[in-house]
Amino acid sequence: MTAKQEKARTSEKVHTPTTASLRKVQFGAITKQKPDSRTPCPVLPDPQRQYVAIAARIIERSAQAAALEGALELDKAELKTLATPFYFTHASGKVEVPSSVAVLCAAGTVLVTYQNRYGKLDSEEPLLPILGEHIGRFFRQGFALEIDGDKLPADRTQALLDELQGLFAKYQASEALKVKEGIRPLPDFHTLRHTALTPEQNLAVNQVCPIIATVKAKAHS
Amino acid sequence: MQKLEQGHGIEPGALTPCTYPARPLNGGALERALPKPGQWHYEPKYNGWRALVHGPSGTMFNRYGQRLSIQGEFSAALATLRTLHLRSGAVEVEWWDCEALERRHALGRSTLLVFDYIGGGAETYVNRKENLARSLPRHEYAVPPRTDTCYSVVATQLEPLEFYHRLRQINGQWRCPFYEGVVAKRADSLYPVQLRSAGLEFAGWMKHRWAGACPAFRAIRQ
Repeated sequence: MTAKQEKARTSEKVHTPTTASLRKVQFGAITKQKPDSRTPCPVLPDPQRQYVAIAARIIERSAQAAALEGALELDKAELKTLATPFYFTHASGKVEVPSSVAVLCAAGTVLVTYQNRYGKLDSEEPLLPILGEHIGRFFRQGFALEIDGDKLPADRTQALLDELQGLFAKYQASEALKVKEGIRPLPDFHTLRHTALTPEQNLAVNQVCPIIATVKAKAHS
Repeated sequence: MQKLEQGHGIEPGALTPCTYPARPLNGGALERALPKPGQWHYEPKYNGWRALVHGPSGTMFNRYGQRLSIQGEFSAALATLRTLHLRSGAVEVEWWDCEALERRHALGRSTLLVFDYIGGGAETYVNRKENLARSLPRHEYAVPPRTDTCYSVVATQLEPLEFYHRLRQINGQWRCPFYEGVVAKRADSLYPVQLRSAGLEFAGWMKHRWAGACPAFRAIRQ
């Protein structure tokens, strides 16, 4: 199901209000999305039968590419899974940690690179059995209203949030305010983890909050 | 860890999905697929709406984590899920990964095909499938599903390519695009619980659609 199909599907279900006194806000100069007015494509004339061969090749090669891309993604994922325990073991106790693990073969080198990038967790609960009371040393709460919560002054954030909620409540608009919150690693987690946690702890944390790794090939020239 | 209070003005308390449903990698047509590392099982790829279902409340979400507007049409199947008691680790399963059949074709309307669950234990794909098959009637791929029913989806015992071609033949026999291809699932894979992105692909699953069933090819042909 594509996003477009999903959207189209959802819109089918929306009931249009029929009241004559419909109150509408004005958007002024903001560009309005035009209704879909696509017309059927004309077919390119091909009297010499040249384009048909190209079209067939595109279809054939697209199919080959899809199969190849899928197989490549699987191999990359497999290599990441296999290399990650070594990465944590090798980096254990070190302050300066190489960002990549190299895998050598006759044709060249493949690098598994562990970036300082992590996903957001919905809750700290899965981390508690691993990190216990030390969780605050490695992770923090992150949140976003329509504003970026990370950029607010930490010591005044609660007061600001309280005022914001008060303001929306004053206009009976509390339900318009949504928060996305999550648990994120602290900025120094990426380096601190190798000295403060064992390889086993790091692997366990990685199951819950995976490090974002990339795989790149460097073939011999 | 210090956490801020959200107060009463902001309401995250409404039911939200525990994860985005696992999204398979695209492997292209199976005839062209290259060998996969490890052991894999093959299931039908149904032509329906992906739905993550919260059993106790009967709430359905689409693959983007949004509420599905067609929920009301699945009341009988949802009632079956509500009465299902399946344990995963120490907890009872509440979340089901399903395909919801409605509108794309005339077969099996308002039926849920349950192909996985999100539990509390570290169960492999094989373990989860065994549990599911014990809890719900299996959908036999060669038999059209009944309406308003809840089935479990099982992997085939046939050779993958033979199964893939057989499903396509069945579409011809049933005169509708009921199947779209197959989904390969790695035997030792755990269900990937993640709320990072709906678009994140899971390398433990790989879909293989028939060329004509791929949106990219439909776009080329238009």
